Amino acid sequence: MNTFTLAIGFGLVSSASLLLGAAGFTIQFGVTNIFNLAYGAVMTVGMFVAYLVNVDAGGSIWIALVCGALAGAALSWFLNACVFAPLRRRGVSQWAITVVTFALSWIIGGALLAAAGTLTRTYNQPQYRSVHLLGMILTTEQLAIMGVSVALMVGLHLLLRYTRLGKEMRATAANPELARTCGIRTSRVTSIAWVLAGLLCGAAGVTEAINLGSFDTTTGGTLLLIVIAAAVFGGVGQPYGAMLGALVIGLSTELAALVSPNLKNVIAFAILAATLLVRPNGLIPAPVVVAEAPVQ
Amino acid sequence: MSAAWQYYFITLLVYACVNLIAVWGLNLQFGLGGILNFGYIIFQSAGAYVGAVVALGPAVTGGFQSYILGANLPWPVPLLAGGAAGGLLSLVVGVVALRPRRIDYQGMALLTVGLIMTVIISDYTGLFNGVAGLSDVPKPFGAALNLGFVSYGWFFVGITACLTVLMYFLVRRLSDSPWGRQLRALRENPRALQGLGVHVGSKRLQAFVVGGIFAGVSGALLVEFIGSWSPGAWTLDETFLFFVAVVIGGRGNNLGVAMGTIVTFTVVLEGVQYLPLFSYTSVAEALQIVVIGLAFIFFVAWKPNGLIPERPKRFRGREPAPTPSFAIEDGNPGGETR
Repeated sequence: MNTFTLAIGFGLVSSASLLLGAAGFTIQFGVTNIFNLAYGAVMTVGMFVAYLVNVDAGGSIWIALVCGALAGAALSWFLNACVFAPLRRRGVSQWAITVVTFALSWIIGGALLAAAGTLTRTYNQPQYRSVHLLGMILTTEQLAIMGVSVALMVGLHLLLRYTRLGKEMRATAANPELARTCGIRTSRVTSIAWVLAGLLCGAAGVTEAINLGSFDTTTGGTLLLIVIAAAVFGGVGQPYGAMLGALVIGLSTELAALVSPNLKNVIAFAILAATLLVRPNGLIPAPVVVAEAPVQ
Repeated sequence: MSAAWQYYFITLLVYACVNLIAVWGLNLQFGLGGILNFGYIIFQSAGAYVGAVVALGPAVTGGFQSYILGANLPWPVPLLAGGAAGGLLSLVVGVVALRPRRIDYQGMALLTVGLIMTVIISDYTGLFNGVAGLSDVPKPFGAALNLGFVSYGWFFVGITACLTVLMYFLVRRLSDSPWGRQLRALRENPRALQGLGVHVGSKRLQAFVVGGIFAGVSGALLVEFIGSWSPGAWTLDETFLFFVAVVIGGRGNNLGVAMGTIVTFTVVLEGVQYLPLFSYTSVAEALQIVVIGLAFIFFVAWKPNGLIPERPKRFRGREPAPTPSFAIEDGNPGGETR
């Protein structure tokens, strides 16, 4: 057992929660074509709702995780129903929508700050047993997080690949107009995509907060950097690319932390910059229809 | 008027001028060129840091702050160095971050650049003294003039105002020039501009660098006034406020965004202090951001052209152009032949 395999273990754990975040980000982007910069703020809301359930109401961390995910889904649905869908109906241009997501991250962050203050918080959880596995030391809790993440990813794969809803989502992502002409209720599909993304986003927030050990109102905003790096690495709008991106970013940030903890964010950023330089539209570029339609 | 009140107005005026210069830079990038530069504040900050270290003497080993350079150069060298730093950083960042096809993709890249810069500057103390930041930056002609606190303040307001007027004429000249019209075309319809034989990528990069120079100058000016600079001074909140100023004022209109800046920074942010205090300060500040954000969304949805909309330019002896995308539609492609 050496520090290298230990770091791989940590890398797998952070990949697990990053998987959730990047997959949610990318699905929402693929279906709705909105680059959601408020995603980090939604993650933070998930963390705080989980905190309410876990510490204030005394529920177990797993119930808190479910509640955090549900809160993310609800907020995400709300944002779509009350902000993005109306703006789209008004014919607001693409740049304006992006700037609105930027504004929303500030509104949600400000509201959270007003409600919760700048205090750093920690979840209330028992000491979990640690397990030695191939030179890695992981707590049972971390194994459970990895299990949850893998289960959700398999579920997502089955949903996208084998269900009618998944087919409708892929059709909407590829060409919304054509999908509508074929009788798909794209507004309903879009709404469901927001809920699904919110669910993954909330779950990512809570699991990441568990991994980090503590969080405050700005944690989600900082995490967004890593989530975006993972999503961009795989090509935004490509769920499988995002999963790969999460694995690469998660592992490389933890390995970089071996050298110096300061390098963690820097390496995520370096991967992002390298991706932009070599493959500006991602490892697996989005289909041309989606990528080029609203240049403005 | 008491000295305290005078100094309050001095601060207000200097900040307003600095914000005006900065917002004109963002207007070139975002208002004219359509670039979503969500990391705008880092270019102002680059100007401030470089302006500060150029004005400061060499760092003392074992002193209270450590930094690079320390050239001890007289004014206006720090100002020019600040502008150059803003432009250079824009060039480096722009080459990478402006590569994706979609502008929201670019905006995301710039946002992450903004986030990472804060981390790097805070973590690597040797560069610009980390989280503690630089302080004791010498004031322009401070030693030579030997004025009192308040009278020096008014002198600084004079310098700042002259510079702001200068920058206004510069930005007006730029945005009315064929180059500025090409930027508008770039915003409205990049593919049409490409069809006219203009290299869209390099045009976008040019706008980005020129905007970065404006940001750098504003930063260098600000650091000379307040005398210190640290990562706490350039959170992404400021970038957001500049975007609010541009959209509320009128995207693409230099006077409009100037008004937007005064409304956002001076009236709203300062004015709130005079309201009766209903809670402790941090809650009030947090709610301020919420209110500004909501106002911003209101403008985007119902008044997307802002308070003073951009006017299509009229040319002598021609029909007035119907839309702001006149550069393409009036038959004179971007005006680059003149």
